[in-house]
Order: sequence, then C-alpha cells, then structure tokens
Amino acid sequence: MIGLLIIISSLLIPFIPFKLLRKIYFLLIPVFVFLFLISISKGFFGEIPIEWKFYFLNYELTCRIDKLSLVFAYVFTIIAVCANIYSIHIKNDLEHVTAMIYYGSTIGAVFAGDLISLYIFWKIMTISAVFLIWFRGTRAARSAGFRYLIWHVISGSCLLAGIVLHVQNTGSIEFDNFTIFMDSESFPYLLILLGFMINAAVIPFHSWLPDSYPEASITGAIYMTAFTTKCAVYALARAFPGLEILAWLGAVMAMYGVIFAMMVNDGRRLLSYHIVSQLGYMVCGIGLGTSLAINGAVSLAFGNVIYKGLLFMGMGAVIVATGRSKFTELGGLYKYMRSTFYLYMIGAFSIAGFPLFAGFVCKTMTIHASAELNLPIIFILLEGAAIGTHLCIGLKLPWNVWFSREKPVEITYTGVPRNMLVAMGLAAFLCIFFGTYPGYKILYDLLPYSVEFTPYEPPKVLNTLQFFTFVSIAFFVYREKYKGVAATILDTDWFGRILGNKIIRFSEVQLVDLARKLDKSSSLFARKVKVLFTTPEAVFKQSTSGGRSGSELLSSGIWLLIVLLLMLVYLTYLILV
Amino acid sequence: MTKVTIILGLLFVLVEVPVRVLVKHKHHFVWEEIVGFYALFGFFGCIAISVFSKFLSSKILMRDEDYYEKRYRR
Repeated sequence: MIGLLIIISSLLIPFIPFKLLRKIYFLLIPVFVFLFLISISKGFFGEIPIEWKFYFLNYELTCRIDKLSLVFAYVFTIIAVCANIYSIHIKNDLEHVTAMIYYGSTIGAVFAGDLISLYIFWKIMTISAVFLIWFRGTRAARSAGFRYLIWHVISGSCLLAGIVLHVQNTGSIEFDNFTIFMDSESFPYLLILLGFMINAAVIPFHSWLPDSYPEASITGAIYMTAFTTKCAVYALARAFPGLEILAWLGAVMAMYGVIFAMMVNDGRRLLSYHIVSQLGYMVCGIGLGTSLAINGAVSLAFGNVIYKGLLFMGMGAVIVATGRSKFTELGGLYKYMRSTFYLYMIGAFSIAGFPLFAGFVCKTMTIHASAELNLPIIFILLEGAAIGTHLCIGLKLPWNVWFSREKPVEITYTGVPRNMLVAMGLAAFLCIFFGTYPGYKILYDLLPYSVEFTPYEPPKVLNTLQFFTFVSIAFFVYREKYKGVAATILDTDWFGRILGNKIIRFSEVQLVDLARKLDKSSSLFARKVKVLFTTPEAVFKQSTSGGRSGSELLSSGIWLLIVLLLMLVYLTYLILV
Repeated sequence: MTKVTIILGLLFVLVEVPVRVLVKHKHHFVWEEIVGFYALFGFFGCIAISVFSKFLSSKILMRDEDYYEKRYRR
C-alpha cells in the first residue's frame, strides 16, 4: 500500500514543471515516507503490529507493519534520502523515476503481509533494478544487466511456483513462518527458499551480484546495494528463521566473499564481494535462529545498508572524478580527493567493526550469538571474515586508490559534484551516530526482539583493537604484495557464461547437424518402405538383377519386419500381463 | 605509520593483562584464555587469507582481463 503510493508519486516526477521544483519533489518523497514511518512508530495509526486489509480478486491482501518490517523500512528510507541527494545532479528524470519505483517496490515488498503482493513487488523490484544497471550506458553494463535479469527471473519464477503450490496445498496466502521438513509437503517452501536465496546472493547463486553492481550506473548502484539483497534478507528472516543450513551457508559465504574480494582489481567489484560477505553474516544469523542472532542479522542489515552505501558513494565519486575504477589505473589520488578519502574511511572503519562506528554495535551481535550457541567453526569463519573485511576495505582499497603511487598515470581530474559530498557526509554522520551512545540505543530499540546486549564492554573493545592493529601491521609490512593485478577472476558464473555458451554453440551446430542427418536418413527409410509396400515386386526384380538399391530395399524390408515383430511382441505382452 | 601501529598494537596487548584481572568476562571458547589471542589471530589470519587467495587466484582462477569478451566473439 505504502509502496504503491510511492510508485505512483514517483511516476509524477517528469510532469512537475520547473527543474528546481522537480528536484525538491524528488528529494522529499523519502523524507515524507520517513515522517510517515515515525508517526507509525509513535502510534498514530494504532498499536504495532498493524494490519490493513484490501480485497483483490478473491483474495484478501494485507499490508502488515510490525517491528521486523518497520526496521527494514526505516533503513531503506534513510538510504533513499542519502542516495537521492547523491544523485540529484543527474539530468535524466527517468533515472530518478526508476530509482523511486525501485524504492517504492522494496518498501511494498517489506510491508507485504501476503504472498501475492510480495511477488508483485518482488518483480517490480527486479525490473527497475535492471534499468538502473542499463542507465550506465556502456556495453558491459548492457550485458551485465541481461545476466542480472536472467538470475532474477529464475528467482521470481521459483518464488511464483512455490507460492502457487503453497496456495494450492493450504489455501492460505499469508506470508509467514514456513517450516521445512524433508518430505514432499514442503516442496513449495524449498522453491520459495531458493527464490529468496538467489536474491540474497547465497553461494553458489551469488555470481550476479559482483557481476552487475560494478557495471551499474554510479548513482543507481547506491540503491541497488541497499534494496534487493536486504529485502531478501528480510524475507528469509520472516519465512525461515532457524533453518540450520542457512547458518552454515552464511558462515562459508562470509569467508568466500572476503577471499574473492582479495583477488579482484575493480574497486566496486571488491566492495560487491564484501556485500556477499556481509550478507553471509546476516544469513548465518537467521540460520542460527536465536532471538539474539536474528537481532544481530537485522541490525547488521541496518548498519550495512548505510555504510555500504557510503563506501559505494566514495568509490562512485572516484569514478565520476577520474573515470577509472581499476586499481592498476588508480593511485596517488590523496592530493586531489582528500575529503572523499576521509568520508570513505569512516565507512571502511564502520564495515570492519571498529569501536565507535556502526559496524561494531551491529556485527558483534551475530558473532556473539554463534559463541553463545557454542559453534566454534562458525565463530572462526565469521571472525576470520572480519580480518578480510578490514584488510580489503580498510587497507587494500584506500591504499591502492589514494596512495600506492606518487601520481596516477595521465589523470584527468574533473572534481566531485558537491551534492555527492553532502550525501556522503550525511551517511558518514549516521555511521558514527549509530555507533555511539544515543544512536545504538535507538537502533537496539528498533530491533524485533528485546534483548539485553551491551557492545561496549572493555574486554570486547580491547580484543577488537588488538585485532585491528595486528591486521594493519601485517598489511603494512607486506603492502607491496597487495597491489591490484589486472585479471578476470572466475567465479560460479563461469558455468553459465562459458559452459552455457558452449552448450548453446553445441546445440546450434553439432546438434542441428545431427538432427539434419537423422531427418535425411529417416525420410530415406520412409521412401524405401513406401516402395516396399506399393511395388514389392520391384524389390525382387532388382535384387535378381543384382542392383545395389534392391539389396538396400531388402535390408530395409527386414528392418521393418523386425520393428513390426517387436511391436507384436510388445502388444501380446500388454494383453497377457 | 608502521611503527606507530606496532607500538599501539603491543600497547593494547599489554593493557589486556590488568583488564583481565579487573573486569570479569565470560569466555565461550578455550582459546580466549590466551592473552593477546586476537592479536595473534588477526596477524596470522591476515597472512593466511592473503596467501590462500593469492594461491587460488594465480593457480586456478586468474584469466586474462578480456577473458569473457574474447569468448563471446564469434
């Protein structure tokens, strides 16, 4: 309902007269939503959870607002405000419209209390996101957009199939907790789970994310980092809390993203792999399923949207100013982009979980939950991923982009639009705000469960500080080894892109050839059979004269006889048994 | 920069000893009993991740920069 209103209001953007008014209107959409959400939290619309019902066809659609959906709606709105400021200088109104449709559909999906509206918003989300990729306008963006579309169409189809089967089995369209048992009854839930998992970039279905986000438009990428994946995390937290396989997949995923991030050369691709890694923490928290772990996953999603947005904004500003994103082509930008560097570093410290920044109060919760459940392997994987996070985002990327060389080769520095810096400043402020005293209390109050958790205990802070300084020492000692290497790193999308391509080639060439041959031989065979039936004497006549075609005809006649005999045997078998 | 971080790091490890005595903290795993465990974990973990990812990329996963573009051309 709220989502639909946002979508409708975003469609009005191009029709607003003056340029300035249009921009103000565009900026105000999420601000209004934010005020609306606050008024909901304050209880102007009745006590939470609220359910508004609508009738559509023969089904009762619900707009459900409870604590879990509200916290996600808050953070999506906050990042939409930041991203709108970040992209206000863009002259193309369609890009603004698409971004706001994307935002509206995400809010709609988060507030969907039933499966039908969830599916509809899910689909709008996919399509608008694809356009945000294509707005980059490059060739690479076009093909990456198509690959993104393929993955998300698969995800949407799985979701739809699961929903249809579920509604057929139970007759209810309510979107709530599904329990998976290993029997045929829960097959629809497996399909729904698969749909969510593709959107949440759970390995091995993650390859669309580091493939498409680095190619997306500079401003569109900010929306994309926030919405699609975190919406899927919300859906997983709603439908499958405590599913054990998610805990293991999530922990492996956290490590996987970090290791791949170490290898890549593109700044935004490195950050994209870290989205996979951070999603791993969230998926793991959902899989662990205790109220502390779910709280950890949700709060991490909250923090991650803000600081990952900030990091993408920083890297986007570098791309806008220099036109480059590869480590091998960058370096020595500190002289030119000092403010961008400091704002980026606030995001980097946040994501790594440095005390006083948002990541510290969010991330420790999930790790702590795995410790409380006494799961050492998951604990080590998550802590190890934290090493890689600090190493890549806090050290490798800034060193490669802003330092590492005296001066980049032949740079044409064009400057960063001021609105971008303002947006980054706002996001950086929020990172520090939610990491320090009144902020993290506010964040913890928003979480779905009420859990006592104090992040700032002296031993914990000290451990984190030790951890950070020693990772930094290891980096500084071996820093020359962390220079970017120009290469393509294969990932699971290799199976789709190369193996799939080969399969298509094979079907186009070899398989068609084979079909043509089969076609030819079968028509030849039919012609022979026809001759055999119409003019049988020809066979004997020719065979006596020793003609070659005669003996061929004879052999085909024998074959026909064998086939007929086989059919006869089969028929008698059917009749007798 | 390197020297400053090394001094800071050693300082944090040293501070841990009195903090352990003064503040009661529940340990979940055995290895948390070691003083400076997180420093060791961070340092060696960092090297392990770097070496492993270097090995993985150079031996298995690394290809030319235009690997995919080349494959698509007919």
